Amino acid sequence: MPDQHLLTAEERAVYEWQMWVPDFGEAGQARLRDASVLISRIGGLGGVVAYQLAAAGVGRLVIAHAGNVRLSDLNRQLLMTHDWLGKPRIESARRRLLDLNPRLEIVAVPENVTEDNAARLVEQVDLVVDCAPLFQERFAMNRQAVQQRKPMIECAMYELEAQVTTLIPGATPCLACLYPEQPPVWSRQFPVFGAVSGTAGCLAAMEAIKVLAGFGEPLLNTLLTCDLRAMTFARLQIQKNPECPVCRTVENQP
Amino acid sequence: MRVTLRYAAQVRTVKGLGCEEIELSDGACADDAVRLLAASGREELRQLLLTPEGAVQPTLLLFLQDAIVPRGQRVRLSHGDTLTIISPISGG
Ligand SMILES: [Zn+2]
Repeated sequence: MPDQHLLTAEERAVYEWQMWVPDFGEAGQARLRDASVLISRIGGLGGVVAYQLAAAGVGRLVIAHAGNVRLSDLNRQLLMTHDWLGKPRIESARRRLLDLNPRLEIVAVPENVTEDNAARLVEQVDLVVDCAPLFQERFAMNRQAVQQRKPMIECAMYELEAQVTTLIPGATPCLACLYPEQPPVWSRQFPVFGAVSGTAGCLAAMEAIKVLAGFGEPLLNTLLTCDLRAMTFARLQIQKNPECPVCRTVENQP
Repeated sequence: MRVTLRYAAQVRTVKGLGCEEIELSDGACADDAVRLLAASGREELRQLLLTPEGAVQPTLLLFLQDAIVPRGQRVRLSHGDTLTIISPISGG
């Protein structure tokens, strides 16, 4: 009798507890294993996304992040370690992810997302998780995600607040629908506790898992806002901007 | 009429509080509430809320109760409404 299982014995052993989720099961796990995800920056937020997706058994992660580990990364960037100070962040991240899950395939890109590399990064994956700290990186990623019709989990934090939404080209607004231009005041440095970026990262990872495995109700047309100062959470309804130039380029295509 | 304003992100930091009630004249719309708020505070607050020309910042997210206020539309407020004002964040 042929093996009825979609997974290897080791995979079944590792993922047993999450396969008990009834509408996920072994079929959901096989979908995660066959999936690829791009994570733009693997700092306080993206590092937790990457770690959770590696733990959950997503088969292939493309991670993009430039620069070397600094002391000021270590309050939140959980893939960076003290013994790796001054050395490339991307290597620290790769090492930590493979320690957790040696079955994982990792494409480690020592660059941040730009207009020049966004297309080839997005091409390699099924889904994008956008964790970049600068709007210009997020806008470059958004344009490519919409153009290539890939879902993008959009997550961000500031101080004790976190936001997450799931963007599906054609079905929901895109990032440019929400922010039609570069915000004037935002700067690269912002107040952050690791527990806040980690909260945003776990929420975003769960959205990615749901979209890839096809279960649950992703945050479509909904911005989840979390205020960890008062522990209040809100589901705010967002919508497409009919004038959005990014959405329009794609809607006009056959 | 009285309307509750909820502040998030940098607007909250600059205001130093998360929410307050304000008095608006009947017929006021969401943008009027933002302009009134901008006039009540320091220059830093004004820059978050308005363009140099005095229009509402196009990247500001406004929600009436739980629904987004479409940019540029005159959405009238009613007594007892809650308007949430969120400046854009992208911290990672
Ligand atoms: Zn759009």
